[in-house]
Amino acid sequence: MADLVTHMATGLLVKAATRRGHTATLVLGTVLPDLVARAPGLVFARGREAGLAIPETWVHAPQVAHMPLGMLALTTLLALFFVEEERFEAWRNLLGGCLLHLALDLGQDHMGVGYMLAYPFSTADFELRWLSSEATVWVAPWLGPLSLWLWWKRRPSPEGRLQEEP
Amino acid sequence: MPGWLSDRARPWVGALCLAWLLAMAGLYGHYSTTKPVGYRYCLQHLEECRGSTILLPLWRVTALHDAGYELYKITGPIPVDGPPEGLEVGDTVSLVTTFDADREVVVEVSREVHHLRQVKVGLGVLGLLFSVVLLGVGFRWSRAGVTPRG
Repeated sequence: MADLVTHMATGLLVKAATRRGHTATLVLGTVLPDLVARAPGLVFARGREAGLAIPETWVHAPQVAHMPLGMLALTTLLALFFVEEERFEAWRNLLGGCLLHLALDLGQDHMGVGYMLAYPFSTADFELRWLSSEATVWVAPWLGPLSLWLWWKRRPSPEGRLQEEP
Repeated sequence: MPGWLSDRARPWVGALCLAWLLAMAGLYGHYSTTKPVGYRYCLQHLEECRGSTILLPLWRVTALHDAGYELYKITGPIPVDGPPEGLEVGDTVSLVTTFDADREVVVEVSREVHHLRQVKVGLGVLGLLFSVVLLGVGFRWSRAGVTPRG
């Protein structure tokens, strides 16, 4: 996985380019796979290492939120918490953010041990191996503020957003 | 808006998504702990794995010895036959190894030390904090449901 700051920055850059609403929803989508899949996995793994009786399956199970079919279900589930008139846009932005996240992660190199894209229908994994797993550490400190500035300069006005809606 | 996201369909769609996620999680948890690769599998299938390559991406060094070291990630420790020079306990490494069935260790073929791993973890924590702020600033929360602010 790339770092979370870089993931959030990619979401802001997309919104700066498209000048559409639902910025927070898309940015939330860009961090969702790591927040739901990786964070609990890391906590459980550290707990096991510290000697706690945490089943190994608990460490692996949340990883499905980092797979396309898991993302589809997770974003649909979360979109249901939005008010009805915002729900479809919320779902599109959450899912779009998740897919943006996956696209960035696919560029990384984990020695060929890649990401499962069709689980549970296939266990084949894939990654492009273009970037080292820490490559984005050099990018995040400037891309984060730059993307925020670009988005702020080009953000849609509240009036503009209302005009877009039927 | 599509009908499957309407208020009427909401309970059914929600239940379906939850069931799908739980089923996927259960399947993947089982698959991950039983798949026929890795050090643990090789310990149970010594002859089959003799000399085979085992990839160990992003494992943490937990102990250093005179002629080797130990790794941990979810399971372990895995004993590694390789030079401990240049390593410290807590380092994250990615290794290409071969399985030595006689000694039940992995032999280091190539190594990459991830010196920036802790910086990446720090950026992850920062991203987590930003996410909490985003949830508060970017959305309006009410009993009727969540509304984005912009």
